[in-house]
Amino acid sequence: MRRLVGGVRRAARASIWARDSVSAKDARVAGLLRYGLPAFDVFVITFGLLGFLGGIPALRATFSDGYAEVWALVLANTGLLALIGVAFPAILWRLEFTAKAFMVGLIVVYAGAVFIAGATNGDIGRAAVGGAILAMAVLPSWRLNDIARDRRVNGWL
Amino acid sequence: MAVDIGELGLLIGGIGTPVAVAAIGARAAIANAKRSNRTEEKRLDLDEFAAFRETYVADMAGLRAELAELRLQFNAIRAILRRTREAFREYIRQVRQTWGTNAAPPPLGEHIRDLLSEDDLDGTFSTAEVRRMRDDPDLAPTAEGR
Repeated sequence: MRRLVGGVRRAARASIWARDSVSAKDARVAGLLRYGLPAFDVFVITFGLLGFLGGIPALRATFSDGYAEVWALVLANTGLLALIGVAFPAILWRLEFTAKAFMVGLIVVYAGAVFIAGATNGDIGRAAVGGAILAMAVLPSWRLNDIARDRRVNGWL
Repeated sequence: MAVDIGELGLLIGGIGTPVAVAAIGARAAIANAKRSNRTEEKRLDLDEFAAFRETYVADMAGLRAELAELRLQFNAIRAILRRTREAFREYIRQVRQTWGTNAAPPPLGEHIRDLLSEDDLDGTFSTAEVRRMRDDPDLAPTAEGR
């Protein structure tokens, strides 16, 4: 029990939520690193899981039911891996980097599917949603660049 | 209405696109980081140079002040030396005029005495000592009580 508590404490100290985990030069984005990105990943996981259970219409329409399920499940997993990675960036930056890269790819596919589904049905309003979905890719794209930069600046191995 | 994109479409659009986007995004991020690091390094180099320049300028200002002081002192010493040489030259001229005659040797020029007595701590060139040397020509220069 004591070892478990010690392990949890050590993990907490190594996490992004520890007191000195964000350097002074990153202070401006500390809130984003500690809360914004984890919240984004939690929402992505939720979206992926509910999409897996309920099916995502645009993906089903553009691809197939099976693809839509696999896509949603893979998205939920990228969200989970990114969440684990963002919690311990110094150790698990590769995990988050890879997960975020695939997350961007999946979002681009989804935006394309919504656009195609809307356009082929003559529903411009639906096609326009593709733009809003594409906006979802901005934050993970930014984080990709941020991880690559952080890795060099902090000398993460 | 479902869109029939076929198996090739599924492969390219559904699987190829996310993989390609992920790969391109990752490569672009790494390339951007390299570029931005180089910019930061350049900025660091400039900062280091600015700090070095500041120190160098301060050091040079100190050295210049020291050099000016040394030059001043050197000029003062050169002036003293010139005056001393002038005075001795004048004295030797006076001695030459009386050389081989019975005339009394010329008195040690006041200006020479002034110059010599400046650092004359043991009174070698005091009025009394000069008179004593003149009155007693046999007195050895290193004699005790001189």
